[in-house]
Order: sequence, then C-alpha cells, then structure tokens
Amino acid sequence: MPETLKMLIVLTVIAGAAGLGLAGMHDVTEGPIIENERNFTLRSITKVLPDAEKPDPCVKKDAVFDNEPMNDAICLDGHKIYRARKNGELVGLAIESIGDKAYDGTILTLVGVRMSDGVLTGVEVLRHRETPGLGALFTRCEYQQQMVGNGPDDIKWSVKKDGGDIDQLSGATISSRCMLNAIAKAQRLWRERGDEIAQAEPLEDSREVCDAR
Amino acid sequence: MPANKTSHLGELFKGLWKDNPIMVLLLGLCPALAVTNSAYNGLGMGAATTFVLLGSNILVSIIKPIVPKSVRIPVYIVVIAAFVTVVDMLLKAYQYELSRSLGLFVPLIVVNCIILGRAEAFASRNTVLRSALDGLGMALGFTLALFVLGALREIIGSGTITFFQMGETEIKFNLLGENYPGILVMILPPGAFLTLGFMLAARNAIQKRLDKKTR
Amino acid sequence: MGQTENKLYVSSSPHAHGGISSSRIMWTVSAVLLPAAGWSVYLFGLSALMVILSTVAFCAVFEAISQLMAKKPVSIRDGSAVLTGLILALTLPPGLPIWICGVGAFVAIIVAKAVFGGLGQNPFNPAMTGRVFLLIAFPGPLTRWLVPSGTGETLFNHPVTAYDASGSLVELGANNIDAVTAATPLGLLAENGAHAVAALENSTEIFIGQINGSLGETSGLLILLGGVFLLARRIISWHIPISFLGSVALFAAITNMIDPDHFAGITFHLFTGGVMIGAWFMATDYVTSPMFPGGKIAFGIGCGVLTMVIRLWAGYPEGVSFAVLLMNATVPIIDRYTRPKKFGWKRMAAAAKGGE
Repeated sequence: MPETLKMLIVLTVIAGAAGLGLAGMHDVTEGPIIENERNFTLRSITKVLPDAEKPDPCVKKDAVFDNEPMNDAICLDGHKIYRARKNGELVGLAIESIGDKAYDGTILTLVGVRMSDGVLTGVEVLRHRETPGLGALFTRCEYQQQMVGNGPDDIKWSVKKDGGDIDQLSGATISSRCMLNAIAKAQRLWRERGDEIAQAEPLEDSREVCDAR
Repeated sequence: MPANKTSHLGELFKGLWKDNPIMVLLLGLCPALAVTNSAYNGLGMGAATTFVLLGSNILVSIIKPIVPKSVRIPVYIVVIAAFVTVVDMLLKAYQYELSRSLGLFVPLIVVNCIILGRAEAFASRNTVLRSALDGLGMALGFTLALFVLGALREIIGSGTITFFQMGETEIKFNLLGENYPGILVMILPPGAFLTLGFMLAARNAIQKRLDKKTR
Repeated sequence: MGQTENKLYVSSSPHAHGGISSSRIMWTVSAVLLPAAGWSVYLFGLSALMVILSTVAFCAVFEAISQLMAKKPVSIRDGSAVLTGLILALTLPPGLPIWICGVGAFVAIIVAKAVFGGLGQNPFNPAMTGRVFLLIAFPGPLTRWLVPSGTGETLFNHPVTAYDASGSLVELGANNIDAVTAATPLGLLAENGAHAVAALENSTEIFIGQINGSLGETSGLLILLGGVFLLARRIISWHIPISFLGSVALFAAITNMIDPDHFAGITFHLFTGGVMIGAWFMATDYVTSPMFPGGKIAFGIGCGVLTMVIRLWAGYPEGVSFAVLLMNATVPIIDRYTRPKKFGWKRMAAAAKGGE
C-alpha cells in the first residue's frame, strides 16, 4: 500500500510541477505568440491591398491606412473580407476567395481589389496542394504580374487557351484557371455587392472564420 | 548498471559518430526525413531536440531516486512533454517562421525515440553529469546529421544553403549560381530518403576504412 | 548466374533461353528498339537525337564509373547500360536539356542499379526509376512536349527550332515555349475529358504515331512490331505483355461503356502514352519481373490496372512508369506464391505437419 501511495504522490507532484512550469511559460510567451500570429495575417493582407497607382506584386508594400484592415473584417457569402480605409473613405478590399477545381482540391487565396475601379491590387495564395514546380508556380509574383494592376474590363480574365489574355502556366493550365476562378469570384463580389460590403458592420471578433473556408 | 568505463568526454562524443542517433541507431528518422528540406530547418529541429533531450536527461537523472519503477515511463513522458511544450511555445514566440515550417514536428518531438530511449536507457541509471553529457552529445549528433541532410538536400535541390532566417535577416549562400534550376525532388520527401541512404553508405564506408586501419 | 543447363525452368533466369547469352539478348532488344528511336528522330529531328545519344552515353559512362569504383570488371559491352539508356531516352520528351538526361542516367544506373549490387540485383527497373525521378524533379521540362512535324521534314538544320501548333517553324525560346508545345493526348484527356480526344480515337495517327509525346510513345505500331519480334524470337514470353495490354483494354472498355463522355476507349488507351513500350520492353525486364508464368500474368494485370487507375483518377496523366515500379516492389511476394511445387512437395509438407 505505501508503494501505491508513493506512486500516486510522485506522479501528482511531478505532473503538478510540470503544469505550474508550463503555466508560467505560457504567461511569458502568450503576448509574443498572439503578436506573431496577427502579424502573419496582417502581412498577407498588406501584400494585396492597394498602395500605388499601378500595383506590382514583386514590389514590397508598406501601405498605411487610417484603420486597421485586420480588425475591420466582415463575412459575406462565406467570403471573409478585410476593408482598408483612407481619409474616411473605403479604398481597398482584401477578399478571401476559394478557387474551385484545382489540380488537387481547391485553393484558398486572398484577393486584393481597389474599391474605386476594381483593379486587382494583389493576389496571395494562402493554401494550395498543386504540384510543386508546376502548378505551384502560380504563387510567384512574376506570374502574377500579368494580372495584378488590371481592372475587371482591362483584359480578358481567362487563360490564352480559353481565348483570354492570361498566359497559362506551361503544363498547369488547370491551376492557372483555378486562380482566375478565385479572382473572378472576388471581382463579382466587388461589382455586385459593393454597397453591401461598404455598409456592413465589422465582425466583433476579426479572427472569426467565415464558413466557405 | 553499466560499469563506468567510458570517460566523461567519451559520453559526450559518442553521439557524434560512434553511436550517432540518425546514422547508426537509426532513431528519430521521422523528423529527420520530414523537416530537412533546408539546412536551417535541420538546424532548427536539431536545436529544439537538443533543448528537450538535454533538459529531460538532466531532470530524469535528478529525480530518479524518488521515482518508483512501475510509474517511471509515465513520469518520463510527463517530463519530456513539458519540455517539448516549452520549446514549442518559445519557437512560436521568438522564431515564428521556423515554427511554421517545422509545423507539427515540434510537438511530435515527444514521441521521438531518442529522447525516451536516452531517459530510460541512460539517464535513469547514471549520474546527472554523465546524463547531461550523454544528452548533449546525442542531441549534437542528431543535429549534425539533420544539418548535413538538410544542407545536402538544399544545395542539390535549390542551389543554396541557409544558416539562419528570420523575417528580413537571413544568412544564405547561393552556391550553385543564380541560374541553377534546382532539382525539385530533393526538396520533396523522396529526396530525403535518397540523401539519407547515401549518407549512411558514406558513414559505413568511412567506418570500414577506420576499422581496417586500427587492425 | 549461369544456370543454362537447367532447361526445366526456362523462364527462371536471365540466361533462360538455351545458351543465348544475356549480352546477346540486351543487344537484340536494343536493336529492336531502333526503328522506334529512328521514327522519333524523323519526327523531332536533332532535338530527339540529342536526347537519345546523350542518355545512352551517360548511362554507359556511369556504368563504367560505378564498376570501377566497386572494383568489378567493366562490362559496358554486355549492352545492359546501353539498353537502359535507350529505354530511358524513349520515355523522355524531345528537346530535353542534355544535363537533365545526365541526371536521369545517374539515377537509373547509380541509384537504381549500382547501389543494389549491379545487374541482376536491382529490385526496381532502372530506366523507370530514372524517368520517375526526372518527372518529379523537373516537372516543367518533363511535361513540355514538342509538336511533331509530321511531314518528315527534319529539323537537322535548325536544332533550336520546333513547330508551333499551326505548323510553322519557330525558334525555341523561353517565351514561346507554349507555342511549340502541346499537351499530350493523355494530358488532354486528364484535363478536359474524353470529348477532347474523340477525334483521335480510331484515327491512324495514334496508331502509326504522329502524336506528340515522349520519343517512344509516338509510334505504338513500331513498338508493337518490335515486341512481337521479341516474342517470336522467344526473348520474352507472352504472359506479361498480353496480360498488361489485356487488362488495360478491359479496363478501358468497361469505363468507356459506363460513361463514354468521360472515359476514352480501348485504342486510345492502348496506343497513347507508354503502354506499348511499357508492356513489351519495361515490364518484361528479366531482373525486375516475376519468374513463373502465373506470377507473370498477375504482374501484367497489376501493371495494367494500376496504369489505368493512375491515368483516370490520379494526379498524373500517365501512369505506366509508376505502375511498373509499384509492381516491381511486389515481385518477391508474387514469386513466393507462384513458385511451382516441387515433385513430392505436398507429401513432404504433410509428413512435416504430421511429425510435429
């Protein structure tokens, strides 16, 4: 019986000590961790929001807005939309958009749209499972340069194989199409639901996940 | 109880070559193969494992007199899991990008056989100093193997070698020129198996030659 | 090696056929592949010739190096490295950079063969291992298929040119690579479904071989003739090719019957991609295929079914090389269960059981 008691005490003490230690550690690291996670999302958002007259995906952006686009998010039709404001006016949107029918599953992108004219200000692929070195090349800024900076009516938003203006990635037409599909969804939201987006109340907790993801 | 034949220095260095956990004991292969797509990832995984292995070896050998035999494994696991959680939180707080690229493999250090293996086979039967040296040596051997594996894969796969990377600061060398197209498969999982295979072969060949010389 | 006297198990060793040396077999098979290689040069010109010559040369060199390193006699003249190189070359696209051919040869000879102990010891088909490595390592270059000229006008005078889709000669360069390349019929099928390739179905083009693709997959006819020649000379037995092709045909027929819009038909699947060259020349490799007739048939069916499963539902449009490699891995098990029973074996087994 004393053996059992000893086991009980040793395990309890050690587990308790470990718990205490971890709790202390948690207090120390909680702040930096939240900050890091915020920055990570923020970086993708800033990457796609408008900064220059003619946005270039290969140039690093450091646009400053009046508000915190990260905390000014809404959900619409399952899309999560971050809003950027300048001088009291809504200037840009970063729209989470899913491209259907990728080579493997779907892709999740963040599409930046300028509020005034719908120009694509950036596209960031947040999640994909395309073939490395083939379909996955669509994450490269050099590839995105031919899309970013154009308005919805400036070019034909489909791959050359389908009669559009966008070069398909050699050997990965499906991935290219899929990216355009995600962009098209965001453009449609901007065109048809612009007012709604502008007027919607921001989410209480901007970390909320909208269902289409 | 093993007789204390090995010198203290011997305990430290055996992990590097003679009993290298990856190349001789073939333990901990899962993280070794999964995260070593760059030299820096290999180093990072090695550093995280070093922290856990050193900490758990020391603590296990300190508490060994009070731990009843029948509950020793749960106790070791609690100790190891606590260290792993600490290292996971530290990485997330101060090395966010590294923690993202190592991903699930940081929490999975808990089940790395080297760590429980050293706790059970060494730290629970040896002095604190010896256990610390053993843990450090084994961890350094693990780190060395992961670094070499990661560096080889990175050099062949993308022509670069990365020693450090955090935000804008990085220590990265372009060894094979700007125009090197890269051999993608080396960065993908098959490349890990191929490279490790050749590393094992090289180690065995060198060992054979050494054995011949001593004889 | 050298079980030539044992004529009972005709198919059980590389020296199976009454005194024909393995080197003689290697050279015969290589010679049989030459028409298909020549046809690809006729279609693609220098861009194809360079791939063939460099791959064969690299394979021979790596074979010599590996044998020198292992302090074994150098045996390039037995033709096995040349044959590996030739088969590998025929699975590659024309115009592939020479250094990539070199990497493929390295993987085929060194990684897939030499490290396992050389000829006869390798569990996986060397040429297939090389091709699969290249496919995963260089997905871009390995899926850029030049459009064949189809006119017989060779490209010898213009090594850096190719034909674009409209049939005019253009210079090869990074910026027009899409103009001179096209998806293979299988790529089209994977991307757009059967209606995209309906025109090809039952056309003589895929049969004679004027479709784009790797060097050896353009001409199903020449490969088929070569295979039949090998069969007639008894260098290969009928089991693997027939069960491979038969299972592909059956699979294609069934899926095509269920949904003709989505799945292409029998001739399409038999004559596109690597099925022909795979069934006659790769799956029949003595070292990496089963020894006994029953096992050979199981092996062939496995290859055929896996090929079709990969073609129709997996991430790559073509599955022959993956299928052959996967089935290579099963050969020891297949051999174990299909070994012919020794005379009196049953009785001995029964006795052994009774004794326990």
